[in-house]
Amino acid sequence: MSWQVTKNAAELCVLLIRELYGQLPSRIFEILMSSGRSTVQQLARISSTGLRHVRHGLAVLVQQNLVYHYTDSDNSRTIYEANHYYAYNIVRNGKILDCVHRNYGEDAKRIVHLVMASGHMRVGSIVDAYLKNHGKIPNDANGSSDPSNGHVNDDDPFEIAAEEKPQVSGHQILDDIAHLIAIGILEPLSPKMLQSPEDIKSEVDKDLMKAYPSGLRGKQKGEHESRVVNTVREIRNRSQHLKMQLEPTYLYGSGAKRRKLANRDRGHGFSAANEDDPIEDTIILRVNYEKCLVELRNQRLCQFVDDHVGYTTAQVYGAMLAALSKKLSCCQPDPTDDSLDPMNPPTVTTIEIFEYLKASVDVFGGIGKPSPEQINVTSAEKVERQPPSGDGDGDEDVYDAQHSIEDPDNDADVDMEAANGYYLNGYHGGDDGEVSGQNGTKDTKVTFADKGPTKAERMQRMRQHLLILAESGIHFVRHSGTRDQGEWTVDFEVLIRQLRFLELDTIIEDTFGREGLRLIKILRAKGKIDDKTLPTMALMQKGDVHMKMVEMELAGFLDVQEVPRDNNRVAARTLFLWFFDEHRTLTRTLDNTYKAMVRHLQRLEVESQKKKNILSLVERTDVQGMEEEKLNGDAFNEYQQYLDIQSRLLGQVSKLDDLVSVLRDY
Amino acid sequence: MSARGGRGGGRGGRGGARGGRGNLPWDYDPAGVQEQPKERYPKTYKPPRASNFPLSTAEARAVTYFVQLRRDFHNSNLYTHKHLAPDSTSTSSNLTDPVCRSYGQQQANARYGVKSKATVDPFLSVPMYSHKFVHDARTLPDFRGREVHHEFFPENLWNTIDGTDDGGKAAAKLASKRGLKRKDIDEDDEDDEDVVGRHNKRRGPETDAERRRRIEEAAQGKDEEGENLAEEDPEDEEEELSQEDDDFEEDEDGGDYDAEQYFDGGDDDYGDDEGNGESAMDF
Repeated sequence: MSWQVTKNAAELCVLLIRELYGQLPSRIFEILMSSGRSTVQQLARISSTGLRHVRHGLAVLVQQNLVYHYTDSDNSRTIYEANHYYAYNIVRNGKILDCVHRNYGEDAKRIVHLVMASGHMRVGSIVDAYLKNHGKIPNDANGSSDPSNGHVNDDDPFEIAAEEKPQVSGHQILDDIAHLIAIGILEPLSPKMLQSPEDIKSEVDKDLMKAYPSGLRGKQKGEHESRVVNTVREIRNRSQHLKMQLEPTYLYGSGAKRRKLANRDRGHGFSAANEDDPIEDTIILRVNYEKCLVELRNQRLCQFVDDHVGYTTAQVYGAMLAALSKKLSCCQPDPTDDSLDPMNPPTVTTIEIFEYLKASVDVFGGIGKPSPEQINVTSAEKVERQPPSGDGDGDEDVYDAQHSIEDPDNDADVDMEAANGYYLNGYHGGDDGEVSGQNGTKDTKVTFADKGPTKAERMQRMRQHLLILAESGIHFVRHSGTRDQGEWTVDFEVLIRQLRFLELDTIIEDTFGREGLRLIKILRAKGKIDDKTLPTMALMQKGDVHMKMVEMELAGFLDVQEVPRDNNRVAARTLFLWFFDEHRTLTRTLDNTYKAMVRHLQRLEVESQKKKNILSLVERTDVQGMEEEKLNGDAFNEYQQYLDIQSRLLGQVSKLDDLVSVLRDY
Repeated sequence: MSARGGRGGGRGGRGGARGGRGNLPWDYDPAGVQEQPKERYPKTYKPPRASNFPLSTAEARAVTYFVQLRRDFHNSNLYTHKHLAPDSTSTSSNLTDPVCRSYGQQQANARYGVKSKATVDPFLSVPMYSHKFVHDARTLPDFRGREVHHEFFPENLWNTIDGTDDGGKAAAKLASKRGLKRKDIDEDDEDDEDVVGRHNKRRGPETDAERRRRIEEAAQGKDEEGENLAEEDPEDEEEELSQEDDDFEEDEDGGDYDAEQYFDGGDDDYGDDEGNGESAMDF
């Protein structure tokens, strides 16, 4: 949650606010970003605008959770502070809505949309607004005929599914909202959450210090600090009460109820009408971006598996992550929180995973059929109770893993034994090597009994997929226990680190070519290397190596350290050690990415300026939503062009955000 | 120790490397790099084209949802429309260069347009039938008729979210009846510590010449820029003007020569934020 706000990141936040919330709030936010915590008067002075404008701008920002504010109880002065975390997350809104739509259905997406549009919202008014927008006219629930939705002509894949939906009642919406709270996508807002963490901490600190009127001495200091940390955590967890209350019903309850949202199956099987309302309608909710990020991470990791192993396995992995993520509230847990033990991350059992597996997934595809003697069962079923070691030889692991993925044939590494079953099972099984995980479901050679496999068979088969994942050099899954047919967990830190390297490698390869990537991989694996040994190690010409290294040094990816062998510091008598600084490369890449996003948004402004006339026409209330009928041919074509440009620019921004998420947030 | 060694030691590794340039094994050859500016991009520069990488369906859907969200918010009363000053957008050079370098707040503010009675386009201000379809260009968010939850807003924004934030006019009027001068009110609620900043920042922004230029601009109207009913509503305009009046201590009311205020009467002159009892609480 904490990251460095560079100039480009600040600019990006301001542009995003301008794009979504308008000019006035963005101006105020810009000042808040550049001048730090300020009062209304200070803001007015710095911006040389009227106090009234500043107050209105701030009100919008508070409504949208974009500023922290803190009122000092002593002098009742209110200080405002920019919340760059929320501001950056504006860029993810579209993606989050898509993710919610996919995982929890159309209704959930609409609820989240409403909450997003108004910052924070009372449960009662969510229901009212929902019924006003979508409840009245049956069959009009979908976007195509809704004036607020339809103007980007995009075929909604869920259209058919939503077509025959019966009308929703207020109670069902409440039920959906309760489910979303239980998942954690919506969270109840309390005034404390609009205070910055530092303010909360200092206030708690001040309160507790009253117990020590004569100051802290010796042992008291540590005692006091731990009490402060505990109280702060308690305040933070207060909003989790409702979630915990709802969790048993919605997440751990009967399977039917849990999957209700996902299936959008309202017609039968579930009658909630005679239950009490699950939540009071006075609770005020907002979107919890931390949890949304967990969902987005799941999606990204599925994609990763899809690329590396195969489609079916990715589906199984998706089910596994879905089961696991109900135990996770954020991507990067707070290291000071000692309720979470890094050595024992939450686990899920095979049975739990199976409940999350969609019925449509054909688990019988995607795995080759090797002869039994080719599988090393003990190795395949190996249980690792400890997470893989972290920093020490982490680099080596990564190096090995990537090599083994790229060219498993040439890999004569020590890990071969452990990895044996994996290759035989997944990649190189079969007689002619054609049966591969990559081919996935299209593989015609694999034929299993297709006459209604039993549940136990399906589960067994799903387990095979998980074992493949566990065995791969990239630590997708760790087989951590044997309870309930196997316990599984994911060491996200290790996994995400590899994903990060993968993204960086792609950038490096695109910029410097294969040779550059090879050199950097060697440096990453070996640490600091003398420039005389490097050419032999890379099997490249000395001149080529030097050219590439200098090129990469100029771009800031590498650096060189000099170690003189004697006092004279002659170049010939000096060791030049090249090294790759991961942290610096990450921050530089991030900053460049922010810059690219800023430029795309600026470009969007220019494009809309160019098409100003047509856009002002489209924004008329009688045209909005009916562009095709109301605009004449030329104007409509021009509008289409604009939409095309807009979707390319926004699409690119969201692709860049994918990169930022991997490098920074996951 | 030789001189070179000393330099290298003092400046760390890099200094030494530069000193020993000719002997370095990886001497970077700048001959390949031509430093003269070129007319075109080099032929080797082939940026990836967006059309070669179409969005996946999930990405396209995400963009659609974002656009929907944006449209919903833009149709709500909290959205403030974008209004740039006409001269910052009309010229073609600015159109292609969105990166507007501005040094200091004054230049940054100059980009934004001003909406006042003087900047209304006379050709479009006559009510027309089609106007009922066009959103008013909003310069301030409108919280009236909205459900707001006071507990999440600090107290000094409560008037604003209730829709009763009139810039402190009522309080100022009261004060003027009691015979208080603007200056007195100012001194009441400005802390001493802020005086320096105030002189620098608030008086700094507009010099006489600029102000004249602005009035001229406003007088010329926005014949070409019809839709650009720019920023800031009348009250604020007056507010700014009365702030400027601080520059001329002997001419507190702005006088009859103040073109923009000629028809507004002098009454509202007091109606700015400074004279607001409520804002005094903020300190």
